[in-house]
Amino acid sequence: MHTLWQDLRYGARMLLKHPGVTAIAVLTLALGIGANTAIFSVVNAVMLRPLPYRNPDRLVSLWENVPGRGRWRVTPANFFDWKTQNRVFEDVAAFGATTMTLTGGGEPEQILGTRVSNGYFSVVGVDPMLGRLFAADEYEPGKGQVVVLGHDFWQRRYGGNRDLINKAITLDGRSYVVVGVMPPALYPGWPTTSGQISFDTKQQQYWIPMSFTAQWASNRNSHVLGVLARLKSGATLDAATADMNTIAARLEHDYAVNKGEGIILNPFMNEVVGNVRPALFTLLGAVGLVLLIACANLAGLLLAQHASRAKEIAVRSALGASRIRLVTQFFIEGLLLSLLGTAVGLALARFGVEALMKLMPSRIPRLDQVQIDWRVLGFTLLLSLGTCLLFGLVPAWQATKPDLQTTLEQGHRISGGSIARQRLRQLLVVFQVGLAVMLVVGAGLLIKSFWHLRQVDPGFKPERVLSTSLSLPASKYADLADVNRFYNQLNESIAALPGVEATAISYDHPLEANWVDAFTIEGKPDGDTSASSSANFEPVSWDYFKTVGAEVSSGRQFTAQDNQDHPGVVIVNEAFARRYFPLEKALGQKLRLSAPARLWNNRQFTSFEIVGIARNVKSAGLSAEVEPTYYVPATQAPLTDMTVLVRTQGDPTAIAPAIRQAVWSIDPNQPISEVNTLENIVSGSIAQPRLNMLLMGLFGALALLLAAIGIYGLLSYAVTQRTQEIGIRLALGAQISDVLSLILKQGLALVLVGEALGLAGAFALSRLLRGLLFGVTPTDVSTFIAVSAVLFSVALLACYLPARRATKVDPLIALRYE
Amino acid sequence: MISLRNVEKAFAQGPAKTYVLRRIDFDIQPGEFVSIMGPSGAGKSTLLHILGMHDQSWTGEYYFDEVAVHKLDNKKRAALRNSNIGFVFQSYHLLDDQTVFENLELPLSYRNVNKKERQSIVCDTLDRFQIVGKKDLYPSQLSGGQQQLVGIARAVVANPRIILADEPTGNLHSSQGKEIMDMFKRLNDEGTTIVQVTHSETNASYGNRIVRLEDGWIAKE
Repeated sequence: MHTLWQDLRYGARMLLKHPGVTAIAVLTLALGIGANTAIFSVVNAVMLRPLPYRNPDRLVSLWENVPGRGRWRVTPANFFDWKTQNRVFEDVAAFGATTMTLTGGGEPEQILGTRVSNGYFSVVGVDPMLGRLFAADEYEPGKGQVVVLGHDFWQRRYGGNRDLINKAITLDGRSYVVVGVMPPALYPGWPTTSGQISFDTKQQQYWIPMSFTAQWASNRNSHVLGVLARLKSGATLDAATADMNTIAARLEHDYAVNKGEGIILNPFMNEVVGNVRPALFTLLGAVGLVLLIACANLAGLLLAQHASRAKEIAVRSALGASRIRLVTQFFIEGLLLSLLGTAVGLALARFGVEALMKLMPSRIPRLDQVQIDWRVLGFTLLLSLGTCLLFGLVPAWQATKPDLQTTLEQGHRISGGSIARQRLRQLLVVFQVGLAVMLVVGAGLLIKSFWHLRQVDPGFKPERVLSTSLSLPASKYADLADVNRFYNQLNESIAALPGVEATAISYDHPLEANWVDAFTIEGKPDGDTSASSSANFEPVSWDYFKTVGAEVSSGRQFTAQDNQDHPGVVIVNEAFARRYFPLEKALGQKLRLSAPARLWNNRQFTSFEIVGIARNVKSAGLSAEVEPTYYVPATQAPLTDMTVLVRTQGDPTAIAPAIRQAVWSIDPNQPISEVNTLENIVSGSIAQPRLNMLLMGLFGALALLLAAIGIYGLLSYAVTQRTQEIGIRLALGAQISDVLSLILKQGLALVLVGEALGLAGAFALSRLLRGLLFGVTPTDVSTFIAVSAVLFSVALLACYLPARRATKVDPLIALRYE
Repeated sequence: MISLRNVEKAFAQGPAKTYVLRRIDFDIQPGEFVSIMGPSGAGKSTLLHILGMHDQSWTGEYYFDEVAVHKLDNKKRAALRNSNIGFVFQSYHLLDDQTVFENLELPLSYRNVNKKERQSIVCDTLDRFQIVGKKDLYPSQLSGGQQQLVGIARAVVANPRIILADEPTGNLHSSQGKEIMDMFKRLNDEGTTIVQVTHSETNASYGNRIVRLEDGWIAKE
């Protein structure tokens, strides 16, 4: 114990003796440990913490697997067939998003929630914190005037009032009884059209029962439901897959519309983290590499420092210290350094986590739970110990190699430059350069990928356009004429506002498509499977294309006259025309739409003539292929939930209060929500790739800096070691250029070996980035070449500085060393 | 061949100056074997490095073959040195990580001699110094005497007109020292001018002239 204390004191003294070296070492370590801790705290919260459900591993999501489309939402009829025919699930439940307007007791508010079928909460595995769940009869059509509130909404709107249970609130103009409050958790809220579950907390403000009429329950065309299931105790995913495959085959046999369809089972954790997992693993790998580079850097630094202490080691050995004793002493010095680095690293990680939270896309689930908890602290301490072993032990072992006689006889010169130690330092530099190349290649690929993403033509002009959502209460606007009247009036009011260039309403804003609906092509012979299909269904007002800056490339745009008094018309996008009319002209063709009859019981509007072809507008993100879309005049397909789009002459956000006033002047109880600019929406859609690029760029730059410091350190040390040799060379006739090239060659040879190994490593590993790349292959030659050039330039600078110092060696002084 | 006129070297020590060399005037004729002697600190090595054009910070006039060295810039001095002067050091100063062959090749590589010619000259030199068998050995594998032999071979490999030797036998025992001095004598007999710094009267006796320095002054010739 006394020895340990002695070593600790001596170690602290040695660190204080070289404050510059200690500061560089601590900062290097802190950067590595801080970056790892910050990224790990995100991984921990998002991916490692168990899901907040009962037996979360038994929870799966179910999707239809549709030929030509892949994962898709489920039709009501399929949902009931799966629910009743399976033998592996405790229960199966459906859910879907809903928007309602809350009035009374404050400003009207449009709130997002989830409509859930019987069994949803027991499948998810969460009990209410207050009150009860829905009773079975409350799921029957016409009886479900009950609501369960989300914790955050209950706190925000009602101040956590426990007396609210069994009291009524007004949603969409109807009275709903609050029967319970759910605890904060992670609830599946919305099945997207691209086949993913959204866990957006905005969707978790309330739950209402999902009712099925007999007609709706037998619908096999409307892909609208998200489906969850809970495996029976002891049932495996494989057994469930086999069971569902049997059901799919049976349904395929029984119903033509199910032809070719399968069922996808997805463990629930995949739904929660599926989107961010590749990015988080990539970033974790990247910070791991940064830490390795930092360790290599430190090991090099310690090797040099230990070399200058060769005499001390020799004297200690001569006085009887064993090698283990000496290694322990050096190791404790390393440990002190490591602990200091960890402390500073943790402080950096705190800032890093805060910065990450600002940069991370908000739709990543459980991001609000990111914190430096005991698990993160444990990880950091393990990291600290691991790094200490990595950078401390090898140099300590090297430094204490017995070479007593030579050291004592010849002083520091020979042992200080021992060939084995030099080789080790050279190897460390090669290692650092190699790792830096791999990281910078990864960063380069993501930067190029992001650049490609920014170059994508979205098909619309997002500048100066404001988007906001409206959800008219169905009880108040039951008559479709009222809906049309409201929106026409609103359109006119907004168009008359100063600074407004154009305004329109649409079901979705560009970059979003939430409704896929079926249609048939009139005149196609029976049995032609391409005649009946489905595509994005987009009701828009007549000025939509001008407002969003999209183009109708042939045919005509909608006009104000395309209303219920005129024949049905439709504009399709180029993807639609290419898919469904590859050989013939789409213009003039007629589509038979199912939505008008189904939604509005309107038999008059079933046949819609294609009057225009619109340029493709991105509907599922900038990187996704444009899906076939058909636009219908909103006046011919009126909906209560719409998006208002306004193109302004100046700052679009400045018009928001005027829009709110325009809405209230028509209906004082009508709130607006989701006020945002299209530019923000575009920017938000690429938030994840931007973050990936920024973080990888940051880690790549850090790796480059650390590698450059490593090269600089090695060569600086080499110049000091070779001062006399340089002096001799100068005395023998070497010119300044000879000395410069001598040192540069030594450094650049290592850099080239490191680069070659790094490029090979990057070639092997970059394919792991494939899922994060857009418009660039993982082995993109130009990126590899550019990275090599950048790294070589940085390395050249790192080599040049010590080399220039070498040219200043005065042979007279160098030769006096004798 | 060499003329020094009023050469002085001093270090500033606060407001005062400490002189290392004072008013040095002397000439060296081609083919001479000059020994510079004197007690430690007399300025012998400093004078040798001024002659060898390593030291730039002195005053006075230095003519080498009528060329005014004191007026030359560094580059021209280096060119003049490379084509005329060879050095031998007390501690040999061979490069540890290069073989005997490579050590001999070094001065030639700094004089832009092409590889083929370099190899031929080095082979001739190895032969002349009878160290062909040692060509692939590293300095650490040679005795002190052998190392200094290589040091001399390296000094003459570029065929200099004058060799400057700084206590060339200082680290050798007497029999090895004798061999080295015999070698210098032979080189001098073949026409190479030799200037050595030495403490040894015996070594000085190999030359034909002694210059004695005391406290930076030429005390006696």
